[in-house]
Amino acid sequence: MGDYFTWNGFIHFIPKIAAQLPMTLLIVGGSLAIGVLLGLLLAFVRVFSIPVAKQIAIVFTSFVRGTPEIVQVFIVYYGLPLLVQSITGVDIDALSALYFVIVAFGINTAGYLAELFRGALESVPRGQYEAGEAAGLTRGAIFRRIVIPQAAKFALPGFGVNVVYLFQSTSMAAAVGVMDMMGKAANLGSATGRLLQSYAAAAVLFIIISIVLQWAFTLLDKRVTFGR
Amino acid sequence: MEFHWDSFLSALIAGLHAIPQSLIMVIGPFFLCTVIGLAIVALRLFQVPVLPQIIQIVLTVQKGIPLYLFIVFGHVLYMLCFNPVASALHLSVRVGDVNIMYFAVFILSWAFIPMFTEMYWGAVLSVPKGQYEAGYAAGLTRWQVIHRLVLPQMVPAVIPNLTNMLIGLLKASALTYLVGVMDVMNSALQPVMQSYNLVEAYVASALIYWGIALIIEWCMAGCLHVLGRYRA
Repeated sequence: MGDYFTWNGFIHFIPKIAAQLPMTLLIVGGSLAIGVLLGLLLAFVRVFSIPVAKQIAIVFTSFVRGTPEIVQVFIVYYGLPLLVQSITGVDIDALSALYFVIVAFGINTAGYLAELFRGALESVPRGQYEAGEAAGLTRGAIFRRIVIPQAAKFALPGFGVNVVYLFQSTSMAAAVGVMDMMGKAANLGSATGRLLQSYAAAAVLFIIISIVLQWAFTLLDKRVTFGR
Repeated sequence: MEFHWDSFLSALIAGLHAIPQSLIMVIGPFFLCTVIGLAIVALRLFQVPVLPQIIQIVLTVQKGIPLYLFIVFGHVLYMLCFNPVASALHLSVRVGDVNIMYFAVFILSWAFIPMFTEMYWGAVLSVPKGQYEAGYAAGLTRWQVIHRLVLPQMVPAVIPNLTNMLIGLLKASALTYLVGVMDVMNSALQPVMQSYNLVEAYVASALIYWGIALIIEWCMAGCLHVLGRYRA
Protein backbone atom coordinates (compact mmCIF):
# COMPACT_ATOMS: atom_id res chain seq x y z
CA MET A 1 0.00 0.00 0.00
CA GLY A 2 2.99 2.27 0.56
CA ASP A 3 3.53 2.59 -3.19
CA TYR A 4 -0.06 3.68 -3.73
CA PHE A 5 -0.66 6.01 -0.79
CA THR A 6 1.61 8.35 1.13
CA TRP A 7 0.39 10.99 3.59
CA ASN A 8 2.81 13.53 2.10
CA GLY A 9 1.42 12.99 -1.36
CA PHE A 10 -2.17 13.08 -0.06
CA ILE A 11 -1.59 16.51 1.57
CA HIS A 12 0.22 17.66 -1.58
CA PHE A 13 -2.76 16.71 -3.78
CA ILE A 14 -5.40 18.59 -1.75
CA PRO A 15 -4.59 22.15 -2.96
CA LYS A 16 -4.22 20.93 -6.55
CA ILE A 17 -7.71 19.41 -6.51
CA ALA A 18 -9.15 22.33 -4.49
CA ALA A 19 -7.94 24.66 -7.29
CA GLN A 20 -10.75 23.22 -9.43
CA LEU A 21 -13.42 24.21 -6.87
CA PRO A 22 -14.39 27.32 -8.91
CA MET A 23 -15.16 25.04 -11.86
CA THR A 24 -17.36 22.81 -9.67
CA LEU A 25 -19.11 25.88 -8.23
CA LEU A 26 -19.61 27.23 -11.76
CA ILE A 27 -21.39 24.01 -12.71
CA VAL A 28 -23.51 24.19 -9.53
CA GLY A 29 -24.33 27.89 -10.05
CA GLY A 30 -25.16 27.52 -13.73
CA SER A 31 -27.27 24.41 -13.15
CA LEU A 32 -29.11 26.06 -10.26
CA ALA A 33 -29.89 29.14 -12.36
CA ILE A 34 -31.40 26.99 -15.13
CA GLY A 35 -33.04 24.67 -12.61
CA VAL A 36 -34.71 27.43 -10.59
CA LEU A 37 -36.11 29.22 -13.67
CA LEU A 38 -37.31 26.06 -15.40
CA GLY A 39 -38.52 24.57 -12.11
CA LEU A 40 -40.58 27.67 -11.32
CA LEU A 41 -42.11 27.57 -14.79
CA LEU A 42 -43.01 23.87 -14.40
CA ALA A 43 -44.42 24.51 -10.92
CA PHE A 44 -46.60 27.42 -12.11
CA VAL A 45 -47.88 25.39 -15.04
CA ARG A 46 -48.95 22.57 -12.68
CA VAL A 47 -50.36 24.77 -9.91
CA PHE A 48 -52.46 26.79 -12.35
CA SER A 49 -53.41 23.72 -14.45
CA ILE A 50 -52.55 25.25 -17.82
CA PRO A 51 -53.93 22.72 -20.36
CA VAL A 52 -51.42 20.67 -22.38
CA ALA A 53 -48.46 22.38 -20.66
CA LYS A 54 -49.47 20.70 -17.40
CA GLN A 55 -49.37 17.22 -18.99
CA ILE A 56 -46.01 17.99 -20.63
CA ALA A 57 -44.70 19.19 -17.25
CA ILE A 58 -45.91 16.01 -15.50
CA VAL A 59 -44.27 13.74 -18.10
CA PHE A 60 -41.06 15.81 -18.12
CA THR A 61 -40.78 15.78 -14.31
CA SER A 62 -41.48 12.05 -14.13
CA PHE A 63 -38.84 11.32 -16.81
CA VAL A 64 -36.18 13.51 -15.20
CA ARG A 65 -36.80 12.09 -11.71
CA GLY A 66 -37.01 8.49 -12.94
CA THR A 67 -33.87 8.30 -15.07
CA PRO A 68 -30.25 8.25 -13.88
CA GLU A 69 -28.39 11.58 -13.94
CA ILE A 70 -25.45 10.01 -15.78
CA VAL A 71 -27.76 8.92 -18.61
CA GLN A 72 -29.19 12.45 -18.82
CA VAL A 73 -25.67 13.91 -18.98
CA PHE A 74 -24.75 11.58 -21.85
CA ILE A 75 -28.03 12.27 -23.71
CA VAL A 76 -27.43 16.03 -23.54
CA TYR A 77 -23.69 15.72 -24.30
CA TYR A 78 -24.19 13.57 -27.40
CA GLY A 79 -27.71 14.63 -28.41
CA LEU A 80 -27.76 18.41 -27.98
CA PRO A 81 -25.20 19.13 -30.74
CA LEU A 82 -27.18 16.92 -33.15
CA LEU A 83 -30.46 18.63 -32.19
CA VAL A 84 -29.04 22.15 -32.49
CA GLN A 85 -27.43 21.31 -35.82
CA SER A 86 -30.67 19.91 -37.24
CA ILE A 87 -32.65 23.00 -36.14
CA THR A 88 -30.18 25.83 -36.76
CA GLY A 89 -27.44 24.24 -38.83
CA VAL A 90 -24.86 25.42 -36.27
CA ASP A 91 -22.32 22.80 -35.17
CA ILE A 92 -21.76 23.16 -31.42
CA ASP A 93 -19.82 19.91 -31.09
CA ALA A 94 -16.57 21.79 -30.44
CA LEU A 95 -18.03 23.65 -27.47
CA SER A 96 -16.57 22.74 -24.09
CA ALA A 97 -18.29 19.84 -22.33
CA LEU A 98 -18.86 22.24 -19.42
CA TYR A 99 -21.83 23.88 -21.19
CA PHE A 100 -23.53 20.54 -21.88
CA VAL A 101 -23.01 19.46 -18.28
CA ILE A 102 -24.57 22.70 -17.00
CA VAL A 103 -27.59 22.21 -19.29
CA ALA A 104 -27.95 18.55 -18.26
CA PHE A 105 -27.76 19.24 -14.53
CA GLY A 106 -29.99 22.30 -14.98
CA ILE A 107 -32.68 20.13 -16.53
CA ASN A 108 -32.24 17.50 -13.82
CA THR A 109 -32.40 20.08 -11.02
CA ALA A 110 -35.50 21.62 -12.62
CA GLY A 111 -37.31 18.29 -12.31
CA TYR A 112 -36.67 18.10 -8.56
CA LEU A 113 -37.19 21.81 -7.88
CA ALA A 114 -40.48 21.78 -9.82
CA GLU A 115 -41.94 19.34 -7.29
CA LEU A 116 -40.47 21.32 -4.39
CA PHE A 117 -41.80 24.66 -5.68
CA ARG A 118 -45.19 23.12 -6.47
CA GLY A 119 -45.50 21.89 -2.88
CA ALA A 120 -44.38 25.27 -1.55
CA LEU A 121 -46.84 27.22 -3.76
CA GLU A 122 -49.69 24.91 -2.76
CA SER A 123 -48.79 25.42 0.93
CA VAL A 124 -49.64 29.12 0.71
CA PRO A 125 -53.29 29.40 1.82
CA ARG A 126 -55.89 30.46 -0.80
CA GLY A 127 -56.89 33.26 1.54
CA GLN A 128 -53.62 35.03 0.80
CA TYR A 129 -54.53 35.27 -2.90
CA GLU A 130 -58.03 36.53 -2.02
CA ALA A 131 -56.64 39.08 0.45
CA GLY A 132 -54.35 40.40 -2.27
CA GLU A 133 -57.20 40.68 -4.75
CA ALA A 134 -59.39 42.40 -2.12
CA ALA A 135 -56.58 44.91 -1.54
CA GLY A 136 -56.62 45.72 -5.26
CA LEU A 137 -53.24 44.16 -6.18
CA THR A 138 -52.62 42.80 -9.68
CA ARG A 139 -51.92 39.09 -10.11
CA GLY A 140 -48.22 39.76 -10.64
CA ALA A 141 -48.03 41.93 -7.54
CA ILE A 142 -49.82 39.25 -5.48
CA PHE A 143 -47.18 36.74 -6.52
CA ARG A 144 -44.24 39.06 -6.04
CA ARG A 145 -45.26 40.58 -2.72
CA ILE A 146 -47.40 37.93 -0.99
CA VAL A 147 -47.16 34.42 -2.41
CA ILE A 148 -43.50 33.99 -3.34
CA PRO A 149 -42.05 35.31 -0.03
CA GLN A 150 -44.24 32.83 1.90
CA ALA A 151 -43.61 29.95 -0.53
CA ALA A 152 -39.85 30.59 -0.34
CA LYS A 153 -39.90 29.88 3.40
CA PHE A 154 -41.59 26.52 2.80
CA ALA A 155 -39.21 25.68 -0.04
CA LEU A 156 -35.95 26.59 1.68
CA PRO A 157 -35.19 23.34 3.59
CA GLY A 158 -35.78 21.19 0.49
CA PHE A 159 -33.86 23.69 -1.64
CA GLY A 160 -30.83 23.31 0.62
CA VAL A 161 -30.99 19.53 0.31
CA ASN A 162 -31.17 19.86 -3.49
CA VAL A 163 -28.18 22.21 -3.60
CA VAL A 164 -26.02 19.81 -1.57
CA TYR A 165 -27.19 16.90 -3.74
CA LEU A 166 -26.41 18.91 -6.91
CA PHE A 167 -22.94 19.77 -5.60
CA GLN A 168 -22.21 16.07 -5.11
CA SER A 169 -23.84 15.06 -8.43
CA THR A 170 -21.58 17.39 -10.40
CA SER A 171 -18.78 14.88 -9.80
CA MET A 172 -20.36 12.97 -12.72
CA ALA A 173 -19.20 15.78 -15.01
CA ALA A 174 -15.81 14.04 -14.98
CA ALA A 175 -17.40 11.26 -17.08
CA VAL A 176 -17.52 13.63 -20.08
CA GLY A 177 -14.12 15.14 -19.45
CA VAL A 178 -14.94 18.29 -17.48
CA MET A 179 -11.95 19.28 -15.35
CA ASP A 180 -13.82 19.92 -12.10
CA MET A 181 -12.59 18.60 -8.72
CA MET A 182 -13.45 14.99 -9.58
CA GLY A 183 -11.97 15.29 -13.06
CA LYS A 184 -8.77 16.78 -11.63
CA ALA A 185 -8.54 13.98 -9.06
CA ALA A 186 -8.90 11.33 -11.78
CA ASN A 187 -6.40 13.15 -13.99
CA LEU A 188 -3.83 13.56 -11.19
CA GLY A 189 -4.27 9.98 -10.07
CA SER A 190 -3.82 8.59 -13.60
CA ALA A 191 -0.81 10.80 -14.32
CA THR A 192 1.02 9.92 -11.10
CA GLY A 193 -0.22 6.34 -10.68
CA ARG A 194 -1.58 7.30 -7.26
CA LEU A 195 -5.34 7.03 -7.76
CA LEU A 196 -5.94 6.11 -4.12
CA GLN A 197 -4.23 9.30 -2.95
CA SER A 198 -6.03 11.60 -5.37
CA TYR A 199 -9.46 10.08 -4.71
CA ALA A 200 -8.89 10.25 -0.94
CA ALA A 201 -7.95 13.94 -1.26
CA ALA A 202 -11.06 14.61 -3.38
CA ALA A 203 -13.22 12.75 -0.84
CA VAL A 204 -11.90 14.92 2.02
CA LEU A 205 -12.64 18.09 0.05
CA PHE A 206 -16.15 16.96 -0.88
CA ILE A 207 -16.89 16.00 2.74
CA ILE A 208 -15.72 19.39 4.08
CA ILE A 209 -17.61 21.42 1.47
CA SER A 210 -20.81 19.32 1.81
CA ILE A 211 -20.77 19.77 5.61
CA VAL A 212 -20.18 23.54 5.22
CA LEU A 213 -23.06 23.81 2.70
CA GLN A 214 -25.43 21.82 4.95
CA TRP A 215 -24.48 23.93 7.96
CA ALA A 216 -24.98 27.16 5.96
CA PHE A 217 -28.46 26.11 4.84
CA THR A 218 -29.38 24.99 8.37
CA LEU A 219 -28.39 28.46 9.66
CA LEU A 220 -30.31 30.18 6.85
CA ASP A 221 -33.37 28.04 7.53
CA LYS A 222 -33.25 28.94 11.25
CA ARG A 223 -33.09 32.66 10.42
CA VAL A 224 -35.93 32.49 7.90
CA THR A 225 -38.25 30.38 10.06
CA PHE A 226 -37.54 32.29 13.29
CA GLY A 227 -40.71 32.74 15.28
CA ARG A 228 -42.77 30.34 13.12
CA MET B 1 -31.24 15.27 -36.71
CA GLU B 2 -31.81 11.73 -37.92
CA PHE B 3 -32.89 9.31 -35.23
CA HIS B 4 -31.65 5.84 -36.12
CA TRP B 5 -34.59 3.63 -35.15
CA ASP B 6 -32.75 0.40 -35.96
CA SER B 7 -29.94 1.34 -33.52
CA PHE B 8 -32.55 2.43 -30.98
CA LEU B 9 -34.36 -0.93 -31.21
CA SER B 10 -31.19 -3.03 -30.97
CA ALA B 11 -30.05 -0.94 -27.96
CA LEU B 12 -33.51 -1.29 -26.39
CA ILE B 13 -33.49 -5.08 -26.76
CA ALA B 14 -29.93 -5.34 -25.38
CA GLY B 15 -30.91 -3.07 -22.48
CA LEU B 16 -34.04 -5.10 -21.71
CA HIS B 17 -31.91 -8.26 -21.44
CA ALA B 18 -29.79 -6.55 -18.77
CA ILE B 19 -32.75 -5.66 -16.52
CA PRO B 20 -32.05 -8.61 -14.14
CA GLN B 21 -28.51 -7.26 -13.51
CA SER B 22 -29.86 -3.81 -12.69
CA LEU B 23 -32.59 -5.27 -10.49
CA ILE B 24 -30.00 -7.32 -8.56
CA MET B 25 -28.27 -4.01 -7.83
CA VAL B 26 -31.54 -2.66 -6.44
CA ILE B 27 -32.80 -5.66 -4.49
CA GLY B 28 -29.40 -6.78 -3.11
CA PRO B 29 -28.54 -3.41 -1.55
CA PHE B 30 -32.16 -3.05 -0.35
CA PHE B 31 -31.87 -6.23 1.75
CA LEU B 32 -28.35 -5.47 2.99
CA CYS B 33 -29.20 -1.87 3.88
CA THR B 34 -32.42 -2.96 5.59
CA VAL B 35 -30.58 -5.43 7.83
CA ILE B 36 -27.74 -3.03 8.67
CA GLY B 37 -30.01 0.04 8.89
CA LEU B 38 -32.42 -1.68 11.28
CA ALA B 39 -29.47 -2.89 13.38
CA ILE B 40 -28.17 0.68 13.68
CA VAL B 41 -31.68 1.91 14.51
CA ALA B 42 -31.98 -0.77 17.20
CA LEU B 43 -28.70 0.44 18.74
CA ARG B 44 -30.11 3.97 18.88
CA LEU B 45 -33.53 2.85 20.09
CA PHE B 46 -32.14 0.82 22.98
CA GLN B 47 -29.70 3.66 23.81
CA VAL B 48 -26.57 1.55 23.59
CA PRO B 49 -23.74 3.83 24.86
CA VAL B 50 -21.07 5.29 22.56
CA LEU B 51 -21.54 3.03 19.52
CA PRO B 52 -24.55 4.85 17.92
CA GLN B 53 -22.74 8.18 18.25
CA ILE B 54 -19.61 6.82 16.56
CA ILE B 55 -21.72 5.27 13.80
CA GLN B 56 -23.61 8.59 13.35
CA ILE B 57 -20.33 10.49 12.87
CA VAL B 58 -19.09 7.93 10.35
CA LEU B 59 -22.38 8.03 8.41
CA THR B 60 -22.45 11.87 8.42
CA VAL B 61 -18.91 11.96 7.01
CA GLN B 62 -19.75 9.26 4.46
CA LYS B 63 -22.82 11.21 3.24
CA GLY B 64 -20.45 13.97 2.11
CA ILE B 65 -18.78 11.71 -0.49
CA PRO B 66 -20.47 11.77 -3.91
CA LEU B 67 -21.63 8.38 -5.16
CA TYR B 68 -19.46 8.62 -8.31
CA LEU B 69 -16.33 9.15 -6.18
CA PHE B 70 -17.46 6.53 -3.65
CA ILE B 71 -17.72 3.88 -6.40
CA VAL B 72 -14.39 4.64 -8.11
CA PHE B 73 -12.53 5.08 -4.79
CA GLY B 74 -14.03 1.86 -3.46
CA HIS B 75 -13.08 0.06 -6.67
CA VAL B 76 -9.45 1.21 -6.47
CA LEU B 77 -9.28 0.06 -2.82
CA TYR B 78 -10.92 -3.27 -3.76
CA MET B 79 -8.47 -3.92 -6.61
CA LEU B 80 -5.46 -3.01 -4.46
CA CYS B 81 -6.45 -4.76 -1.24
CA PHE B 82 -8.27 -7.93 -2.34
CA ASN B 83 -5.25 -10.05 -3.27
CA PRO B 84 -3.09 -9.11 -0.24
CA VAL B 85 -6.03 -9.75 2.13
CA ALA B 86 -6.88 -13.06 0.40
CA SER B 87 -3.22 -14.15 0.67
CA ALA B 88 -3.08 -13.16 4.35
CA LEU B 89 -6.18 -15.30 4.99
CA HIS B 90 -4.62 -18.19 3.02
CA LEU B 91 -7.42 -18.11 0.44
CA SER B 92 -6.72 -19.16 -3.14
CA VAL B 93 -9.31 -16.81 -4.67
CA ARG B 94 -8.00 -13.74 -6.46
CA VAL B 95 -9.72 -10.50 -7.46
CA GLY B 96 -10.06 -11.60 -11.08
CA ASP B 97 -12.00 -14.73 -10.02
CA VAL B 98 -14.76 -12.77 -8.31
CA ASN B 99 -17.75 -11.51 -10.30
CA ILE B 100 -17.74 -7.70 -10.21
CA MET B 101 -21.49 -7.77 -9.42
CA TYR B 102 -20.63 -8.75 -5.82
CA PHE B 103 -18.53 -5.62 -5.51
CA ALA B 104 -21.24 -3.49 -7.14
CA VAL B 105 -23.91 -4.74 -4.71
CA PHE B 106 -21.53 -4.28 -1.76
CA ILE B 107 -20.48 -0.73 -2.67
CA LEU B 108 -24.05 0.42 -3.43
CA SER B 109 -25.21 -1.06 -0.12
CA TRP B 110 -22.45 0.75 1.76
CA ALA B 111 -23.24 4.02 -0.03
CA PHE B 112 -26.96 3.84 0.83
CA ILE B 113 -26.67 2.75 4.48
CA PRO B 114 -26.90 6.36 5.82
CA MET B 115 -30.11 7.06 3.90
CA PHE B 116 -31.74 3.77 4.86
CA THR B 117 -30.78 4.31 8.52
CA GLU B 118 -32.38 7.77 8.52
CA MET B 119 -35.46 6.42 6.80
CA TYR B 120 -35.96 3.60 9.30
CA TRP B 121 -35.20 5.90 12.24
CA GLY B 122 -37.88 8.32 11.02
CA ALA B 123 -40.32 5.42 10.73
CA VAL B 124 -39.49 4.22 14.27
CA LEU B 125 -40.06 7.75 15.59
CA SER B 126 -43.47 7.83 13.91
CA VAL B 127 -44.65 5.00 16.19
CA PRO B 128 -45.99 6.63 19.38
CA LYS B 129 -44.21 5.87 22.66
CA GLY B 130 -47.56 4.78 24.06
CA GLN B 131 -47.43 1.68 21.85
CA TYR B 132 -44.29 0.51 23.64
CA GLU B 133 -45.85 1.20 27.06
CA ALA B 134 -49.08 -0.57 26.09
CA GLY B 135 -47.08 -3.60 24.98
CA TYR B 136 -45.03 -3.74 28.19
CA ALA B 137 -48.22 -3.21 30.26
CA ALA B 138 -49.79 -6.19 28.45
CA GLY B 139 -46.82 -8.32 29.49
CA LEU B 140 -45.04 -8.51 26.12
CA THR B 141 -41.27 -8.84 26.03
CA ARG B 142 -39.12 -6.23 24.30
CA TRP B 143 -38.73 -8.40 21.18
CA GLN B 144 -42.51 -9.09 21.09
CA VAL B 145 -43.25 -5.35 21.30
CA ILE B 146 -40.84 -4.74 18.42
CA HIS B 147 -42.06 -7.43 16.06
CA ARG B 148 -45.78 -7.42 16.93
CA LEU B 149 -46.41 -3.71 17.49
CA VAL B 150 -43.62 -1.48 16.22
CA LEU B 151 -42.55 -3.16 12.96
CA PRO B 152 -46.11 -3.52 11.55
CA GLN B 153 -46.77 0.17 12.24
CA MET B 154 -43.43 1.18 10.77
CA VAL B 155 -44.13 -0.45 7.41
CA PRO B 156 -46.76 1.98 6.02
CA ALA B 157 -44.70 4.89 7.38
CA VAL B 158 -41.60 3.70 5.55
CA ILE B 159 -43.15 2.91 2.15
CA PRO B 160 -43.19 6.44 0.60
CA ASN B 161 -39.52 7.00 1.46
CA LEU B 162 -38.66 3.45 0.48
CA THR B 163 -40.09 4.14 -3.00
CA ASN B 164 -37.65 7.05 -3.36
CA MET B 165 -34.78 4.89 -2.04
CA LEU B 166 -35.48 2.06 -4.49
CA ILE B 167 -35.64 4.51 -7.40
CA GLY B 168 -32.44 6.10 -6.07
CA LEU B 169 -30.78 2.66 -6.04
CA LEU B 170 -31.97 2.03 -9.60
CA LYS B 171 -30.44 5.33 -10.75
CA ALA B 172 -27.25 4.66 -8.79
CA SER B 173 -26.91 1.25 -10.44
CA ALA B 174 -26.27 3.06 -13.74
CA LEU B 175 -22.98 4.36 -12.31
CA THR B 176 -21.63 0.83 -11.94
CA TYR B 177 -20.64 1.02 -15.62
CA LEU B 178 -17.50 2.62 -14.13
CA VAL B 179 -16.45 -0.73 -12.68
CA GLY B 180 -17.43 -2.79 -15.71
CA VAL B 181 -20.87 -4.05 -14.69
CA MET B 182 -23.06 -4.85 -17.71
CA ASP B 183 -26.15 -3.07 -16.45
CA VAL B 184 -28.96 -1.65 -18.62
CA MET B 185 -26.99 1.40 -19.78
CA ASN B 186 -23.75 -0.44 -20.51
CA SER B 187 -25.58 -3.27 -22.31
CA ALA B 188 -27.63 -0.85 -24.42
CA LEU B 189 -24.36 0.71 -25.65
CA GLN B 190 -22.88 -2.54 -26.96
CA PRO B 191 -24.91 -2.87 -30.22
CA VAL B 192 -24.17 0.74 -31.23
CA MET B 193 -20.43 0.77 -30.57
CA GLN B 194 -19.60 0.37 -34.25
CA SER B 195 -22.15 2.82 -35.61
CA TYR B 196 -21.58 5.42 -32.85
CA ASN B 197 -25.33 6.11 -32.63
CA LEU B 198 -24.84 6.75 -28.93
CA VAL B 199 -27.84 9.07 -28.46
CA GLU B 200 -30.21 6.28 -29.52
CA ALA B 201 -28.60 3.89 -27.01
CA TYR B 202 -28.79 6.38 -24.14
CA VAL B 203 -32.41 7.26 -24.97
CA ALA B 204 -33.29 3.54 -25.04
CA SER B 205 -31.63 2.96 -21.65
CA ALA B 206 -33.34 6.07 -20.23
CA LEU B 207 -36.74 4.73 -21.32
CA ILE B 208 -36.01 1.35 -19.69
CA TYR B 209 -34.95 3.00 -16.41
CA TRP B 210 -38.03 5.25 -16.53
CA GLY B 211 -40.29 2.25 -17.08
CA ILE B 212 -38.77 0.34 -14.16
CA ALA B 213 -39.08 3.46 -11.92
CA LEU B 214 -42.77 3.80 -12.84
CA ILE B 215 -43.34 0.09 -12.07
CA ILE B 216 -41.60 0.50 -8.69
CA GLU B 217 -43.82 3.53 -7.89
CA TRP B 218 -46.95 1.67 -8.92
CA CYS B 219 -46.04 -1.46 -6.90
CA MET B 220 -45.15 0.55 -3.79
CA ALA B 221 -48.39 2.55 -4.06
CA GLY B 222 -50.23 -0.78 -4.14
CA CYS B 223 -48.26 -1.99 -1.09
CA LEU B 224 -49.13 1.19 0.77
CA HIS B 225 -52.80 0.76 -0.09
CA VAL B 226 -52.80 -2.83 1.23
CA LEU B 227 -50.52 -2.43 4.23
CA GLY B 228 -51.79 0.97 5.31
CA ARG B 229 -55.42 -0.13 5.42
CA TYR B 230 -55.65 -0.26 9.20
CA ARG B 231 -53.84 3.01 9.90
CA ALA B 232 -55.73 5.49 12.06
